Amino acid sequence: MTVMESQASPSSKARDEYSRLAKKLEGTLLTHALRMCAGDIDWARDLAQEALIKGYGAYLQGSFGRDTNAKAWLLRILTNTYINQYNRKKKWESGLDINLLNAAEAPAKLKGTSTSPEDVALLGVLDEPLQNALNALQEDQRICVVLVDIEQNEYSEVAKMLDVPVGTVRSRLARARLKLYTSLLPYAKNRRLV
Amino acid sequence: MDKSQSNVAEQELNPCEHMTDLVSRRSDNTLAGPAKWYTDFHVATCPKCKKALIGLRQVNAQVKEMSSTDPNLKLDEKDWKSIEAGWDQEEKGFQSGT
Repeated sequence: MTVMESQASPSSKARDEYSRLAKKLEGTLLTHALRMCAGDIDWARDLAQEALIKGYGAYLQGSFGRDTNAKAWLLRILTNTYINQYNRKKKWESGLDINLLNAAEAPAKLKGTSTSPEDVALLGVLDEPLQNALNALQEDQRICVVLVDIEQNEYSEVAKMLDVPVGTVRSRLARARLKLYTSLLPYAKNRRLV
Repeated sequence: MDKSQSNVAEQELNPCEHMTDLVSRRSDNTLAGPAKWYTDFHVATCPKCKKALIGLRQVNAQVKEMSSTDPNLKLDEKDWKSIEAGWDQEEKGFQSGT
């Protein structure tokens, strides 16, 4: 029986195949989810679960073909799941100023060294400091970094996903990158000194 | 401005206000045409924007190099039980044509 035939009627074989795929990619999905969820592991687990369940529905419907890149396909489902949650939350919280809510959230450990930053490169910054710096961003800025800089989507695609003008994506991304630089500089300098 | 404020200011990138988005887009090579030419012209003569462009290029490079998988991250048994239950529901929905 081929993969497509097994998808035509749910069978233990189709489920086994999808299960193997899910287990192979669980670390990648969780890593990606954690980036979008600002390091909130419980939220990331929920997101990964929802994506794997939705993915199985799509798999049964035959949207996963022989030539499909499994990792890209599941990451897309995960990202769409996150964006749906983000857009729902945005509507729900539309009366609140998210900038005020997030203003004090930057971890203290990201701030403050006294040496000059001139000509210091951010070479070799580890994943953990970078993840911390991402976590400290406001959600609307972080999602732009994830979608544009990590997933390599076009600005116009991200604008459609988030239902905002492309100029908003550009300015959120610019502010996010400036903040990332400020957050990462102390790590980069410390690493050079060690 | 006290010393700590001064140190924070030194660590920040402060491109000219009207150039912030343009410098960011120049850093990821998504600018073209007159906007690209104007940005390059401005950066060549503005130390603040030049520093910002160099810094943002470094940030972009670091973000792109983030590893795609943390091998220590795994779903636990409880997560997989929920997923299996969800898969049961998906199979039922598929069989009933919904």
